[in-house]
Amino acid sequence: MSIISPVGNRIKSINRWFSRLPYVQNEVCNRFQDPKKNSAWIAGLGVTSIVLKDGLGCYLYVNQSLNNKDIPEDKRKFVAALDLANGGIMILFQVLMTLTISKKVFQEKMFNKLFGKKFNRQASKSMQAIMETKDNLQGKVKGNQEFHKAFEDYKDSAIAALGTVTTLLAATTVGKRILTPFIATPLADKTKEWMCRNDKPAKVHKDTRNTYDTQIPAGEKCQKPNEQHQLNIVK
Amino acid sequence: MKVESVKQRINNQAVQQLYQQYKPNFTARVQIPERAVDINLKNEIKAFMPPSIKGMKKFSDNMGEVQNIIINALGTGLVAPIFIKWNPLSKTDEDTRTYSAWRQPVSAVIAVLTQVGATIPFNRMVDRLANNGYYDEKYNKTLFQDKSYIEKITKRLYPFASKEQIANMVQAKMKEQQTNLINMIKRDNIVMSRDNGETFKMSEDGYKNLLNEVLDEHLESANKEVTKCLETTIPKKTKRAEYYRTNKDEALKIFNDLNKLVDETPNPKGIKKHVKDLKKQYKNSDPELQAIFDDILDRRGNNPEDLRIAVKAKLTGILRDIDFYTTKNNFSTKEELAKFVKNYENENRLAPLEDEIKVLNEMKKMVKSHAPMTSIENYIENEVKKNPDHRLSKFKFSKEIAEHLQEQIKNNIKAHKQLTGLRVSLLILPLSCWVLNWTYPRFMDALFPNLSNKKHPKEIKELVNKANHQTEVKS
Repeated sequence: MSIISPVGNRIKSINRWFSRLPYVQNEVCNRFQDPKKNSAWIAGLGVTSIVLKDGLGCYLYVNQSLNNKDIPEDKRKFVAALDLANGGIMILFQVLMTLTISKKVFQEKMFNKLFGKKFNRQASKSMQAIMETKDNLQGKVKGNQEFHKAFEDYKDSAIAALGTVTTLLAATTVGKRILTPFIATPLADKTKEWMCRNDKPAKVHKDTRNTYDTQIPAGEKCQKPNEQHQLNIVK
Repeated sequence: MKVESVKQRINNQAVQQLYQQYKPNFTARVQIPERAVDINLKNEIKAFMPPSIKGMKKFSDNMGEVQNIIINALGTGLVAPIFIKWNPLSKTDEDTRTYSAWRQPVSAVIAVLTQVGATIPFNRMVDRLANNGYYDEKYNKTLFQDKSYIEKITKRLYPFASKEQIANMVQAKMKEQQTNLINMIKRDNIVMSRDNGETFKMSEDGYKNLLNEVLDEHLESANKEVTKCLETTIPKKTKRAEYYRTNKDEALKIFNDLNKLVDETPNPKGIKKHVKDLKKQYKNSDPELQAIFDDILDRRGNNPEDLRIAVKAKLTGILRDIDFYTTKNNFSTKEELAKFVKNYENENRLAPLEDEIKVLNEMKKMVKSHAPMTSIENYIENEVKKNPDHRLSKFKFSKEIAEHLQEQIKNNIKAHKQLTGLRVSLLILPLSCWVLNWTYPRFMDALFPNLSNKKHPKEIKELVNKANHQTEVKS
């Protein structure tokens, strides 16, 4: 208790100090006041968080993969190279995808296609008519500004949510996980070559020789032992 | 000694103040207003929204770092492995690619466990601190604490109270806070509390901004409506009324028949199909008729019965308009009709809107000249008295300010939480990486020994034995 309390207080005061930063109070808080208008900015903040973590993660993973004795040595550099290539390209693609998908024109088109009919004049009128049939709401919905405010509030929330979800999905799934591997995996081969440029010829450990063969089942392979393999073992 | 005793007294007073603040009244009977009198359409509308929209709203309200981490993890865990393993561009052998691909789902699970696990307690901490007044004005929720927070404090103060009593006390406390806030606004004196029991007045600038923002929101909405009326409603109504005037018989036949069908059909979903057929049948007719069919097709309901109500309301409106523009009022020319529609809309729609804008602008001037809230509210009251159908007849300025303040602080806290989450998940990342590097090889050894090296010694040993045996035989 005596240790936890000062640590807790320190965390709280640091947190309050951050909340008082002029950028947070004047820029970030103001942006969050109108999520519909600032959906691209808010989604960008989410992507920034992911990109920052990817950058730091890339650095840490490359270092750790290179020094991870539990990963087979012949695979270690490939894993590290894949991390490095992935890191750089995924950051680039995420930024590019965010800048594209969060564009207002693109978002508006997407919203109208997906939800336009749920928020047009006829949808609003339909809802008013349906609500008016309920005993407790009779005579209180049609022409009531409160209704339009509440209806618009749902529309704004849907716009903000769609903006964030599509931007995040485009950045973290399409940019980072679909486009990046297509470039990063072949690039990892090159990166591995570059990383190994000064190494002595790498000897594949006999224990970690790849055994996977799509042509011949493993069982059949055991029955017909490879001569070369036998020689290695005998040696 | 004297200083110590004064300190002690102050501390005791602070505790007493806090106690008084949360002291609930056991005898309180919560006055739940009659629904017919006090309807909150914001809550009522929820039940009529399509499920997909409700889901979007929920997502939007809870948006934050946790959601970002989960979306990111979904991509990492479910999509990435596919594109690593089956990447036709890679020249690396399949074993190595499979080995690398498996790292993605492992990494996604670890990211969610460590980062979400660390972010959630911080989010809760921010909520708790906002509720107890640890933060400044921008994030201070002491005037409208969360239900869960009041519940927690009440339970702590009254550990033996029943669930029902706790619920009553919580509701009473929330109602009391709501009333207190509105009363504070009526006196132009919003006073917030700090966690140490002290109180402070909301800044003058913050308060004035609040009033102006509420008024600006209403002004923006009224101005938008004026533009919409001039640019869309009047031209559209004129066009439609002209169709009714020139095609009265055709319109009456189509929509009377349709109205009858809506009343009689046991399958309201079939109405849309019927309208689509009508649209094809009258494809060479007036384009306005096609637009009316489109309007009917755009009507919607969450279930067949709701759809029937929505379509029925539209048809009733159409038949009323046909009667209004052809029987109740007769026009010999298009120009005469257009003039009528314009005058009608000016009188019934634009004039009330302009009156609303005038009153709101006057209120803005009063706010600028530091007029007290009572005189602003008196001004609205007098204006509404002159015309009971005034668009601001239900406008409660102090109530709207209270709601706006709550919304503003809620959004500020959301922003603060998102940034806190960002920092926390960044700080926790080295731990996530370490956990991944520790788990990943062990996970592969346990589940995919063929891809890792753990089982190989056994296989090698078998092969060595086999080879030795063969050598022995040969020799």
